[in-house]
Amino acid sequence: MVATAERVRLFRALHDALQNTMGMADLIRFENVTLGYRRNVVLADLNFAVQEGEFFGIVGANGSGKTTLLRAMLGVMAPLAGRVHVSQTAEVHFGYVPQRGFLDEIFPLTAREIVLMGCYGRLGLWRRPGQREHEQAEKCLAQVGIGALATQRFRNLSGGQKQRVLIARALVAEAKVLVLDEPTDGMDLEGQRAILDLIEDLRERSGVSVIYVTHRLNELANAAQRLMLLHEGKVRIGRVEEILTGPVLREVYGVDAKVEQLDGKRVIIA
Amino acid sequence: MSKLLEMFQQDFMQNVLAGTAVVAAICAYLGVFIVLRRAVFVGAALAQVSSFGVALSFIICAILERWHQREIHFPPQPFALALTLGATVLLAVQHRERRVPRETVIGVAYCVAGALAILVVAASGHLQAEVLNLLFGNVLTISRAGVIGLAALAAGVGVVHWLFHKEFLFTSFDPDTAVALGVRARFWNIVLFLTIGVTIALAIRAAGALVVFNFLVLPAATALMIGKSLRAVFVVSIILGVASAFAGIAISYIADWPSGATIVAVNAVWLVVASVARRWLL
Repeated sequence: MVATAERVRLFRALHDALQNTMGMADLIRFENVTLGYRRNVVLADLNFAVQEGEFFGIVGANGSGKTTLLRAMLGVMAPLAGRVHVSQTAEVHFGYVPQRGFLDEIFPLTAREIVLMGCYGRLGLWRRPGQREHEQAEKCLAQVGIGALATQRFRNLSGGQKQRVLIARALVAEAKVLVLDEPTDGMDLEGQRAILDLIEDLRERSGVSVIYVTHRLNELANAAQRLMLLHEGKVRIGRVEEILTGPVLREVYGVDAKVEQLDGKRVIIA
Repeated sequence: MSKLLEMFQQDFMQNVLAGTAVVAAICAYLGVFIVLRRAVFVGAALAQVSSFGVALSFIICAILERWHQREIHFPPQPFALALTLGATVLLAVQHRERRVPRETVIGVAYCVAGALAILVVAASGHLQAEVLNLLFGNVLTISRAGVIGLAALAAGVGVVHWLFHKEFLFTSFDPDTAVALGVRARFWNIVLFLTIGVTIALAIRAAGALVVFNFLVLPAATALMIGKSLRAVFVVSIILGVASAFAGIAISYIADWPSGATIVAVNAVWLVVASVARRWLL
């Protein structure tokens, strides 16, 4: 118990120091958080923070607890223990981009109708989207490069186009934090590159923080600033250059992996 | 033709037509949500629970009559409504951490409520005919007061859906994102299913389980085949529901067929026509 309290105190002190030196504020802070469903603990004793403007990657295999972690961040599920603190001063709006496969394509909705859902939360009860919201939806669709597809049915779009619709919805929500759950799952290399470029572009232009979940380590090796590795209950968090090293990868995954530089980019070979 | 005119001139048939049309319209609208959410079996289970509530009210009456040695009567709707609303709350909430999947809970509710309703009917002895009429319903028994009650129900449900349509749509399509954006998905989910539960409980009393379940599923399924947008699906579903109510009752009157089964058959024809049209024309 004392050790846990001491760890939390140390964690807070480290973050305060980091914030003072870098001028970055914590948007979301996990303090000694345990996540799971009833008695089934998925992730235990999490202490970390996601900071304003950063690109935070979460990498783990299926079943490692990535989606559970996201659900806790978004407030969809409560932790079994500990506290998830969301910054009040920064008035954080989450722009959640769920896995495409979670959405049922039986709904006959157009790209624009789905994007408009992004403003439902702030409209409040009774009110329906008006001209301002429609204009904003068109603008966000154009921003992600699919302005011409506004009236197309969601289910008729390609995987990459669907992902862009969901990102546009997150932008309509005036998100400060884009939370993307496996956004390139099932896409070819070209599609993956295009989505990552789009996210980088949005981050540079609007300064949003990005929390990006994937099961492919190489996907974030050059995009993220900090990484969280989840593997069979083990958790490692740190800056990309600290995490993507042979010893750390061996410790987490139990395999010999090399991190090479190719044309100035990191590549992990296992 | 003369038989058709004769049908429209009869007071009780006017009530039947109006009452069935209201049930058709409201169920066909709610059915779009039920079919889109792949919760068709929820509708079936709630219909069974409602029937069990009706049967239960009769057996309680019978027990009280035996106890007090005098005739006791109270309306079955409050029983049906209370049980249906309770079941609605239980079935509407989706817990990820549940050990038994929601589909299984719905299946259990369907079987158990159906079996209990039959057992209660069997136990009620002399009331069997009356209870069976309530359980399996008969649109031909809709009265003027029944039509007014159904219209009030439709108005109430219509207002709730008009006010909270975007909440119902968002929580049906993507509940996790809805929560992330500050929409209380679990609350709105329960409100949506409560409107469905109330409608089922009260509509079954008027039209019977088969007809109500038919209106909850077939028009929406047909509309989804041919509707190009969500709005079109809602409109087409309501139109098909009301049209099949009129056509079914007219055919059953002229041919002297059972009304409920004829209405279902007409809806089934729309479904076949739509599936052929979708394959060859759309």
